[in-house]
Amino acid sequence: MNESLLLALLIVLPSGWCAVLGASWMLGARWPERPVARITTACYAAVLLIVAALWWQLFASGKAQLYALYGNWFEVGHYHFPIALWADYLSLPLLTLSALLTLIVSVFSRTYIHRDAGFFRFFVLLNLFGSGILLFFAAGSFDLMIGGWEIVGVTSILLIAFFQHRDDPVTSALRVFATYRACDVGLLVGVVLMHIFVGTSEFAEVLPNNIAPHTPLVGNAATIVAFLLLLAAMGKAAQVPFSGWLPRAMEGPTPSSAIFYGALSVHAGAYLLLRAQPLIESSLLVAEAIIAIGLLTAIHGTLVGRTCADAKTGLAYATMTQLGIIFVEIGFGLTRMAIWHIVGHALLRTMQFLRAPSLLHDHHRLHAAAAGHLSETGKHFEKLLPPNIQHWLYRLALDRGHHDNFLDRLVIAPVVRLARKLQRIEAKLIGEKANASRAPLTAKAGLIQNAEGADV
Amino acid sequence: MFNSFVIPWLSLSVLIPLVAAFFVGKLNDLPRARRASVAALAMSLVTTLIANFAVARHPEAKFTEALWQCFAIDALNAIPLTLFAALCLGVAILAPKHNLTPSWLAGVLWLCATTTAAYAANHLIVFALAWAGSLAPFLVMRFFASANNERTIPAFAQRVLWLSLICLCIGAGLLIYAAPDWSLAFVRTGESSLLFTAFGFLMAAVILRKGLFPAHSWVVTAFEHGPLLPLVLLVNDHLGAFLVARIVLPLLPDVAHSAWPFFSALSLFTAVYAAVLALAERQPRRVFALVAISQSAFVLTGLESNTAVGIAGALVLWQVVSVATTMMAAVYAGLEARLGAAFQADKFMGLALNAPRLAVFFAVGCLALVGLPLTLGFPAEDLLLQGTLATNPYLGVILPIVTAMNAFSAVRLFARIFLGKPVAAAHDLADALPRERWALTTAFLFLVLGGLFPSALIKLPAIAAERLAGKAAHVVQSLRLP
Repeated sequence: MNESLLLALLIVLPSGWCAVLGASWMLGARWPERPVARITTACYAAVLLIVAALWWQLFASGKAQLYALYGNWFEVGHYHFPIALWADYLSLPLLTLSALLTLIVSVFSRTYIHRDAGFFRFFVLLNLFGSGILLFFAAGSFDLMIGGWEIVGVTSILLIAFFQHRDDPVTSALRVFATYRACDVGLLVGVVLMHIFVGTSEFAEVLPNNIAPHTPLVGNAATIVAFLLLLAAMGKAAQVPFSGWLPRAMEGPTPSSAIFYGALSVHAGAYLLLRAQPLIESSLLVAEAIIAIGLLTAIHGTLVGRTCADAKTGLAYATMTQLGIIFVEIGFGLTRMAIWHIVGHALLRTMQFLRAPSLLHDHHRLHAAAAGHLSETGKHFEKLLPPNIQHWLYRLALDRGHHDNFLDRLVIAPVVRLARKLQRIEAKLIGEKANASRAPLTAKAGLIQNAEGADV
Repeated sequence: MFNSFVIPWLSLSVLIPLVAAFFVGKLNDLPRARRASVAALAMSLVTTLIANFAVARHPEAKFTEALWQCFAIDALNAIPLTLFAALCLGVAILAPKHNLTPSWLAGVLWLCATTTAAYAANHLIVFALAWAGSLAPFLVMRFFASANNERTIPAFAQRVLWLSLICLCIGAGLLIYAAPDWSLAFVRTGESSLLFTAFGFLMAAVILRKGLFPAHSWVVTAFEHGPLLPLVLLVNDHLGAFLVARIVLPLLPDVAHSAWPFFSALSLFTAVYAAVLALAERQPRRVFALVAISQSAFVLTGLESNTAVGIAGALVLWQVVSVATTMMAAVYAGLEARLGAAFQADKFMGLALNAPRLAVFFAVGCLALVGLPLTLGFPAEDLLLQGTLATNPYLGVILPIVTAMNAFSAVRLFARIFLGKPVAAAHDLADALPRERWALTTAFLFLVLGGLFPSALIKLPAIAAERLAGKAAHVVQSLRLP
């Protein structure tokens, strides 16, 4: 099979199956659990085979990348949105990881979500996520990457609010959505600026290749675009100060936490930066910013992770720490190391997340195997600090670095306060009773709420 | 290039609902009235579709009717004509029985006839009459007034709409006075004070009717207290934006060119202002109105970008906003009718548990409205962003920020209505009824298939946009000449 067909099948298979599931549900069909789960598994097994074939084609051809252009999605005047797919030594490891981990999670979820009222919904969303993440990693232009990126984001929100009959997961999902949307602005504007600066966002033209060894985006243009892409990456990869959403995202079912926040979704930001590496290399300022953000996140993650009482939140902060280190590697230009780190970390973290519900059982087994002598880890580092610093750090970590409070008080509350003021002025002008409450604002459970407890 | 229809399809698309409105209004039997309305609106839709196919085959041509030159169709109005007829048909099917009367359905038919006439108008007087006609159900007629309500919409909103009508009449009157004939075919250049005054009045009419700042409050107040579905139709006719695209841009290009920075900034400010207000708003109908105002303001921002890409983005966003908000309003009105006083979406209601399909329709409407992928909103936002950022970087940066705020407000509204701990009233809630399911599925498919294969829906707006941008470029060039 030629590379165009293989690359197309990579996206069409999971998205087609997702469309079949969605359409049949809309038409009133009720699927039993077993075929839904089995066909999903088969679908990702097929995707894995396709990725293997792509690896083979890449090795056999000796090319730097496989590239397929399917024409323009739409065009107006001189502007066109090309549909181009791309597989190289950067995207293929992540495509392999995506296919493999989605396959594993589909098998795991078959029993984990068995007889849950949301079983069907979970598999529809899993397939939608699979389509989105494969599109993101296989995209041949930054334009198309936005599509995959946003699909992953929306699916993520819907899975965090999976247990929709409780208020807390929904509130958490809204908070995550707000963070995602705020940071996605960076990706949108960055990609549009690419069009304005160099007239395209296709990898074949923006990134260095055999014909043009240097990116056409240089100087201030490269710095602006790279900074905007960094903003987007920070949101998706839960980097400081946008890290507050990651522990909240643990409200979703464990398999989705594993694949989203342990494996694929959180690494999308790092992949975006790796893809934009030539731009980062041309701007020292951006590289330094990435290193600083990564370091801060790694320290924040390891600090807060030590005070977490539940397994999934602890794992979320451990993920954050590793992501910080990956950012540092990207900032230093250690591309290959960052790719291996992403792959290794995703595999380990998926395993840990999937084992999280059995953590106590595992601990007891380990404890018994060690004849009751399990030693605590990490304390030797903590003992190096003076006691008062230890206490101060403990309090800081317990409140998760005050990040959410800062964002709530410095960003959200002033906007809401301004909006309420404007509402009152308007209400006075047109002689209506003001709709917004005058109750003072407090930050609670991720949404700004008034003192009466009603979210605004 | 001018072509003409032997069969007056455009006149038929206006006359069928107009005649049906008089007939349906006199019926006493509601099911019969609904059937008659649906049949008339379906016929109107078919006639606009036939006219649309002719334009799709010859997109560069303008088609008038052989009998009289009153109506015309080209790449600019072809899709809005069909879309509005489809929206009216959808509303007639989806309107909940609760509070529905034959007179209400006659009002929808009247709105369809007058708005179609405004889109198809080939003369200024026809356009002004149709504009006035589309406001009549909210100002003087009592189609949508409930038994205990004296007014259809609050007095404040009525005053604003009257004012918009007066401004339009003065602006159109001045243009007619200055014109060699009454058609919409002539182009005037040179900044005479008369044309500038006409432009000022026409733009005042646009600001008032579209609900741009500081006239946005009428939309919010009307949505809160008035009949939701007819109001959504009124707002979604986007006649203000159409006035800009059909009359202001082609007829007064030089005056428009000098005033665009102001109106562009005003529409962008409206988008920001409404988005900020929506963040703090709790009343669902008001949130809905504010998000709709904010996203609709981008239509004008795109039209004023003077680039083919930006204008095409605005025309596609027009389609998206119209379908998405109508879809959301239909779901909302259906839930209000089902739950009555128990429908208080100021906290989580958890309705998705028993109405999952309605939840999906509402969610898709939300996502399309704010330009998320897999919907037509994504290409629309992409084009709009490319077009505006190319001409005005500040404008282009604010646009995604505002869209992000609107996305949060829209998704929060969805979450409040459909997610969370179910309220007691939600337990015996009925999901989408068959008639609702088919109508909403059509809107759903329009948004999703349009998002996956947008070329078909972008083709005609792109041609119209290139024509408008070409005229704007010509003016810029002529102004630069010594």
